[in-house]
Amino acid sequence: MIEHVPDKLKPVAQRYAREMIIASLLYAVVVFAGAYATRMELPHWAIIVAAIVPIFPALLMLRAYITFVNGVDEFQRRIQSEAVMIAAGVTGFGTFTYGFLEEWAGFPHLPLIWVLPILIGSWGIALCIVRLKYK
Amino acid sequence: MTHHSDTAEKQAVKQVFRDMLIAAMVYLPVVLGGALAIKWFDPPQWVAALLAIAPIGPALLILRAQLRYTRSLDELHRRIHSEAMMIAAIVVAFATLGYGLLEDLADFPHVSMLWVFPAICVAWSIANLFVRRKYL
Repeated sequence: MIEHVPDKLKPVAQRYAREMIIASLLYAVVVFAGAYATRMELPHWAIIVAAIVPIFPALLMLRAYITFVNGVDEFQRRIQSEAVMIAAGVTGFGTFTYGFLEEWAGFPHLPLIWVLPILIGSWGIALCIVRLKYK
Repeated sequence: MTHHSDTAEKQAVKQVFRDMLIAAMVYLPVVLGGALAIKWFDPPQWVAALLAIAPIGPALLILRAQLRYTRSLDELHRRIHSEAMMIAAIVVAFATLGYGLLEDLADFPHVSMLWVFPAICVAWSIANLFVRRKYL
């Protein structure tokens, strides 16, 4: 997303971008390694470990985000929190509705792994809308 | 906390309760009715898709009620609510990511998407208690 970043936000935003890129690269490596590991004849516990390991780079992403939110002013924080609230609502109701369709109407099973991408996607869209509203 | 903000919060709680109740009374029949109609009558796909999308309307009413409530609060309470929601969303997102990976890679049993919303609500309530204790 290319947008104008206010001057006082720049160091915070730059740090956020840097930490996010590092965490994302780590995450991608760990997920691909884990998926590859499951194709080998490994004991079940090793596969469980390989499945859980990607949580750690994901937590690094979370830390980067928290550092970012703590570094911005009240107005920016309000935009962020309103966007997260909308995203959580959209994700909550969206998955709830889909869950009913899955259980009762035979819609195909959607793994839980999609909740985080749905949340992040709706958060990004909500962020754009809330920003436009406050402009 | 002042007496004034106490009264204001009580009024806001009443308002959000009324709004939520109305929205939930519309939402639940639409979700349940839609899913059951698809199951029992086996309608053509475009009708099924419309029935699947219909609950978004009342869901937006619930979301609007929540946003209106949050905006009516003073800065401190708004911060408590939004911080709790942020924590809840993050906890649920990472818990589902972890379990999703276990489901995908380690053949753990399938858990329906139906559980995400109750999980967010429970996590939000618990987070609210902790955040409240921190600020009040």
